Amino acid sequence: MLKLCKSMLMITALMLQFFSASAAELRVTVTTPFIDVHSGPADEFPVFHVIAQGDEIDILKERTGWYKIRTVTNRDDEIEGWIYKENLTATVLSDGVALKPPSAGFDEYLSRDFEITLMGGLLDSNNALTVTGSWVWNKNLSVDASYTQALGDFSDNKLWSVRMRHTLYPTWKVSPYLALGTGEIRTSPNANLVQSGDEVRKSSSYEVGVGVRYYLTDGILIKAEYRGVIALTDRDEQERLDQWLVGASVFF
Amino acid sequence: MQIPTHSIVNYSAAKLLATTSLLLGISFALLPSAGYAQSDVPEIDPAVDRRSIDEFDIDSENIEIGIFGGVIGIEDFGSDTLVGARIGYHINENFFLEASYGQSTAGETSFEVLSGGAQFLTEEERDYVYYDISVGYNFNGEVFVTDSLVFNTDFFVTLGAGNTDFAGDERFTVSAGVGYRILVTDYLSVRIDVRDHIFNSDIIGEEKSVHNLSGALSLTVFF
Repeated sequence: MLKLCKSMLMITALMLQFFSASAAELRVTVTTPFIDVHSGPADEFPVFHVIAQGDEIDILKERTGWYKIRTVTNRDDEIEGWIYKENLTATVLSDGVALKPPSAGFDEYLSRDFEITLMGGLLDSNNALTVTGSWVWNKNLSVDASYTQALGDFSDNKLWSVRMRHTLYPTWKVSPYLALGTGEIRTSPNANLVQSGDEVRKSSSYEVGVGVRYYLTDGILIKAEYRGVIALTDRDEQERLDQWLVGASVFF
Repeated sequence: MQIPTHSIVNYSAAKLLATTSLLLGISFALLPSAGYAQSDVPEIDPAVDRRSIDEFDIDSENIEIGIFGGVIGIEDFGSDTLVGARIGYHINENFFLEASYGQSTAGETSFEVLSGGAQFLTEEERDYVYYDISVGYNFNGEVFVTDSLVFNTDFFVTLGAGNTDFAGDERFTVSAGVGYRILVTDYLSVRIDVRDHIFNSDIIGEEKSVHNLSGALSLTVFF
């Protein structure tokens, strides 16, 4: 029994250690006259405490640009709250080196690695929804993997493609871009139609894209795009689909 | 025999100049004001050395993942149990993106019940599956349960689009909803979501716009 208790205690201790290790804390000292502490991670939450110059705080975690902190005191009245990322510039580490908040706004965008884009629009005359994941290779080039579905009254089209996208003026807030890719189209007729030819048709496709992106604010991009998709069908003629899209992106 | 004095002089002069400028440089660098050197020295960041917060392993919690259960009213087919999952990304303090997946099994239409046997759909076709991607906007707030027990909350609205697979067909579906999120802790939340899933359907004959309302209780974690 004692053994069991001991091992349970040990497991608990190990788990505690694991959790405390995963949540790294950082102790800093405040260098401005004061920093407002909000009760939640947003501007709307009220300021319920003020940290004074010279006070020590522990930085616990981050959410959407806000940092959760805990005041360091010898007494029991330590306080937990949220400060805005910009306030980190007013703190120094134990070795006297000042802290720098994470890059924000357009700078953050320029140093991104991934993008996720959601777009809606028309594929020929059907409503179409497109989801794109992008890996940012360098300032100009990124690799997109895109999935579109256009569910029409008579048939459903599902397209996926992989493409290369070139942003012409990456450091401008508004920039045009070009894309070239290849993929596959799956077309299936709706169940309510005559049952003949009820199988899914697959064809390879090529696409060109022309679009423009605009850095809106707070990590959001707006995009508008045209895609011309050529389907290589089994029939004599190739089929061309026109897709018009508008949407938004976020990045990491 | 000529002695190349000029080269010696030049060398000494150059050395002197170099030493002087080095000393001057150091003294300027030590001076708190960088104003003197501005004309011939490229811009030096006057700010002290800074270390980026990114270098430290501070836990970021912007992704919300969770499961939900509730009820969905499938037009003409009654109300049925709904279960599903969601994953969201909080872009900033107000906006978030969210992908949802839900499934239910439709009951019988009143016609099917009254006719005593005639079936519109096969068992397989009764499976109701949807997924969508929504954009949400948080109205941040607090709820005061007692004097000392306070929870952060969000009232939010969502608008999204996706796909509904029902009665052997897939339909483009628009969804709109409202919800309320109570953050029990920083990373654990309980949510109530009410959504309307709208699509065009001709399952029972004439094509019409179908509204399927769902209400669900979610448990989500932020990480």
